[in-house]
Parts: sequence; structure tokens; C-alpha cells
Amino acid sequence: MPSQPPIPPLLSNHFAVPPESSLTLLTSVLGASSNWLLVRFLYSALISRKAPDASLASDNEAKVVLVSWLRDWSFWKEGAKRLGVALTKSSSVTFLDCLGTGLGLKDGGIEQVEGKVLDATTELKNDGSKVIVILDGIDLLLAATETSVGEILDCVGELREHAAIILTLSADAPLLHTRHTPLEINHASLVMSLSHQARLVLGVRELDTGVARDVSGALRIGRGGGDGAEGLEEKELLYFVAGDGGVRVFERGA
Amino acid sequence: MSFRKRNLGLSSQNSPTSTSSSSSSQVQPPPPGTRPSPIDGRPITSTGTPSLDALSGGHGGLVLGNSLLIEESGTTDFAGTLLRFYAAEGVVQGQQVHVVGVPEEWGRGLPGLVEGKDGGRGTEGSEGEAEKEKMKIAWRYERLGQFGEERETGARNPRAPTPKRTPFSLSPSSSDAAAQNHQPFCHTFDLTKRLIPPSSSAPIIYHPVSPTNPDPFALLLSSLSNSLTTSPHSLPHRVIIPNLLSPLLYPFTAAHPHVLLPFLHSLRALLRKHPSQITVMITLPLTLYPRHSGLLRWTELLIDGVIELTPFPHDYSLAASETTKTAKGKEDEKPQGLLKVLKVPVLSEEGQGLGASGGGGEDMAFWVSRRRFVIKPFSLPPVEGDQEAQGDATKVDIDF
Repeated sequence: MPSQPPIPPLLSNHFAVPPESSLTLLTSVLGASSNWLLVRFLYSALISRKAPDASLASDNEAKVVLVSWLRDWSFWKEGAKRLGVALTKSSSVTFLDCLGTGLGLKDGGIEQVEGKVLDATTELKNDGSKVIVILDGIDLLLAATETSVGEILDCVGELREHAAIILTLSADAPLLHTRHTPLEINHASLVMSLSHQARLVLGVRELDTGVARDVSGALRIGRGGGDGAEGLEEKELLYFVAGDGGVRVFERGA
Repeated sequence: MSFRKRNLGLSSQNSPTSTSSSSSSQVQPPPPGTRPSPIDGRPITSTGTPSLDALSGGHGGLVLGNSLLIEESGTTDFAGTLLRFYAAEGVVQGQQVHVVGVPEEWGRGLPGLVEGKDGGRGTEGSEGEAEKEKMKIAWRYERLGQFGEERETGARNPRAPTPKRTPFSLSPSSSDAAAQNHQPFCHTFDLTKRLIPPSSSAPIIYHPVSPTNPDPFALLLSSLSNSLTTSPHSLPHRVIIPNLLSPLLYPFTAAHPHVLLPFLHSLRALLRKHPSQITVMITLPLTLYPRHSGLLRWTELLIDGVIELTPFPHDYSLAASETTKTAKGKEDEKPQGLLKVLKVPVLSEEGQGLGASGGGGEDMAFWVSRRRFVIKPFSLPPVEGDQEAQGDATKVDIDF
């Protein structure tokens, strides 16, 4: 199989660097991870591409603050390397390792997270470049600590004043539809509130028809309740992630 | 421009995730009971059950630095059988085995090693021969078997990264490496025997869980972390957590999300911190913690691989008809339950679908006999008297 372009052609517009203060949601489920999407957002932010549309050319590059509760630095580094981007902490990416340090789960709580992310953002913004803050798995704080939905929404709102935000959230049915325990009720309410604010929601899930060898899952692209995604088409596509990390995205039936 | 960069990425993708682990293994023989994955060269270790190893999406075993959760509904303990094979494999390979929450009797009841021509790789081979027709998932596993054998004879496998292999022949410890290559990757165990630990193996470390402490996991994490940092870097550890959250072993507070999830998060951090040193296997009773609860979903999200066992209820009419089959020498023909792969270590993180696991998306079932835990694609038997269907009943082929 020929190697795939890093950004699938059908999604080239969706992976463009998100506008200032916008919120982009990536949702995933247990059997279908959104990590491949996130790596491609990293790629498109960090690599300077010649956009075919001249108006996009001016803001097609950004610096990134990557905050991850579920994955470590070497995972992201490896993922980006497969696309041909060498992530080094010094350059245009700041990585906050919340998996190793337990940032946000310990005494400091979410205020400490907000403080650290703001510090990192300010530092990257020094030379006037655009900054994207990626929060990978902030919903863990809601499930595993006393942090409330309101506190997370406040934190995201505060950060949006300084940067564009990309959030990953789990959207498994037991977390969204069961709504018996506080964990489930809070999670559903967080996902609902954030999707109302979001510019764009990219959701991956397993195929409804079962497991297939040549399809990894379905990708649903929808506009959220927020502004900023007017030019983007809402659609549902299938995708396949190969063993080498290459991704093919195609229409149903193609 | 983009074309050139893409090539750069492709040429360097064979190196393992952690650069530190690759550089350290270049000067040392592989740690006991591990071998490089045929896919990306990361160290893998056997779960003690060949057909479970085969469900790892081509890696051929559990990739070090990963955890596996086995969920089981009902009152049976098939998951415990997998756990015992996993523990016994660790003891035989000379890895450091940690057992959490259960008394020491658990460790004394590990299945015994099958010696002689039936043991070790020999059994893998004979098993493969006997099962050649039935075992449809075996193509991956058989390939891996060959991979291992080629390695033993010193032949170069072009699929495997060479930097890991070359030093074996160059380093002064090549005799050690050769000795280890003779050690099979996965042994065969007999559930009716008791394991006699080899003299060289480190004693199992038991981590008791206090049923009265509201946070039973606090001590566990620090002692695990201690043990990992104080032991030699090349010694792999296996952590076994049987019946997590079972009220027989854990206080009810352990099932509170604010206790359980931070523990699993820290365990995940520990695995990532020592990516070439530790594997974890956990079992959990589904009857008490059903899969449609948010707590269990978070548990599954925090663990790298998840497998669900659904044993069939015992059917006496089937048991009666079984006797005729036994006469033909096919006593393990009847599946004992369904097995579902919900998440595959490494592959799921990369976003690959479950179709990439060894099962290829087919319904899987398991059979347990005295010496084996076999996982195979499941197909319903043909209706009796339907000669035509009996001919090709095992062909399950769905095109998408």
C-alpha cells in the first residue's frame, strides 16, 4: 500500500489551524481512539505548509501547548515522528506531562493546571505567534477528583481568552447516556456544555455494524454550537489507521 | 517538500517508542522472557497463553509497559486461569512477579510446568500441527512461531529491526544470549499440577490490601514503584491483580471513582515511566461492576488492553451429547464461552480498529482444558442432518 499523505485530502480544511479563541472538540470511544486526529492537528500546526488558498497562508502555523493526562511525551513524539515532524520540547511545543506528575489530580487541583498552561502560553506568545492549547483527557479530572463541571468550564473559558483550544473527551455511551451516578451525570453535562461552545466537533466511534479488517471506525464531523466553522462541511466518513500509522479517510461505500 | 518529510518519518518509524530502552538494550542481552516484537522491535513478553499472545495484533505477546484487563461475568473463574498462566510464565522465565490483594496460597496454586517433549516450544509446534485445520487465527501466530525459531537458529528476519539483534553476536555476553534463546518464549502449564519454581527465580512478592483502609491502593503504588527502581533495570516485572474491587478482597471504598481512578492513573504513569520493565494483568468481576457503568468505562479507558469473557451457562443436555465426541477424542470441542476483544494494547492507542487484533473482528470463543486455554473464532455448529452446511461450517467470511 502506498504511504498516505499526513493529512487525508478529504479533511484538509478541517485540520487547518483553528482560529483564535475557538474551541475544537475531539471525541472518542473505548474501541476508537482520537489520537490519530490529535497528532494530525499537531502536525498541521507545526509544519509550515504552502496553503493553496493565499488567504490561509498567513496563519497556517502555530505553537502548541500540549497538556496530556492519559499519554506520555514519548507517545506523542513517536506519533509526530511517523508524520515527519520532530517534536522537541524546546522549539514550538510545550508539553505538560499530567500523566507522570498527576497535575490537576493532586492538591493544586485545576487552578494549578490553569496557571501552568497560562504560563506556558504566555511564554510561547512572546514572539507574537499564535498558540493552540491542546487538553488531552481533561474529563479525567471530573471523574477522578472533586473537580466540578463548572470549574472545568471556567478553566476552558479562561484559556480561550488566550489561545485556540483543542479538547479530547470520551464519548462512550456509558458515560453519556447512563446518568445514574454523579460521575456519569457530570460527564454528560460537561460534554454537552462544551459541544455547545465548540466551533467544530470531530467524533470517532466504532462501526455500528461490527468490527472490520479494513475499516477502523467512523468519523463524524459536525459544527458545534459556537462560531467559526461556517465554511466547513458537516459529514460522516470512514477511516482506516494502518499499522504504520498512515490514515486513509474515505466516504461510505467508496 | 511534504514528500521529503514523509519519507523521513517512514524511515525512522521502526525505532521503538522509547529511545532510552533501545539504547540500553543494544549493549545487553534481552531481559528474561522477552523478545523484540516483529512489528516494531519493542520488547514483548508472553502472557503464558499462546492464543492470548496471538490476539495482540501481530506483536505476538504483551508489549512491555502495557496493562491488560480481563473482565468476566458470572461466577466462573476463567479469567483467573489466564492470570495463573500469566503468573506461572513469569515465575518460570525468572521475572519478578507481584501479586496484589490475595493471600500467598494463590501463588502456591500456580499450574505446573509441562516438561519434556510436550513442554515449551515443542507443544506450540505439536499444538499447531494438531490444530492446523481448526485454528483459523493461527496464521499470525504460526508466523510468529517461525519468527522465534529463525531467531534461535541465528537467521536474520528482514521484518525485525536489526540493531537489536546485531550486538548479540558481537558482545562478549553472546553465550548468555544464546542460552536465553534456547529458553522458549511461552511454556505449557498443567492446571492439575503445582508449579515448582525454578531455583533461579525470584520469590513472588505479595502486596496485601488492607480491607479497612479506605484507600487500599496507596501503599501498593509506592511499594511497586520502590521495587521497580531498586531492582536491576533488565529484570521485567509482572503485576497480577486478581479480582480487582471484589468485596472479598477490597473495601467498598475502593470502588469509589475518586479512589480507583487515581490509582489506575498512577499505575498507567508507572507503566509509562518504566516502559521496558513492567507488565500488568488485572481481572475484574463484571457481575458486580457492569460494563454500562461510567466507572467501569473509565477503568477500561485507563488500561491498555481490555478483554471480556462471557462464559456459557452449563448445559446438561450438551454435556450428555459431549460424550459421543469424547469417544472421537475431541473432548475440548465445545466452547466454554465467548471472548470479546474491546481494546488492544498499543494498537488501540494508535487509533487502529479492533479488526487489527489477531481475531480479525470475528466472534471469538474460548476453550479451557487441563493444559491449554485456547481462543479461536466462534462459529455455531451446523444444524444436525444438514450435510451441506457441515461441509464448510467453519468458513466464516464477511466482506465489507
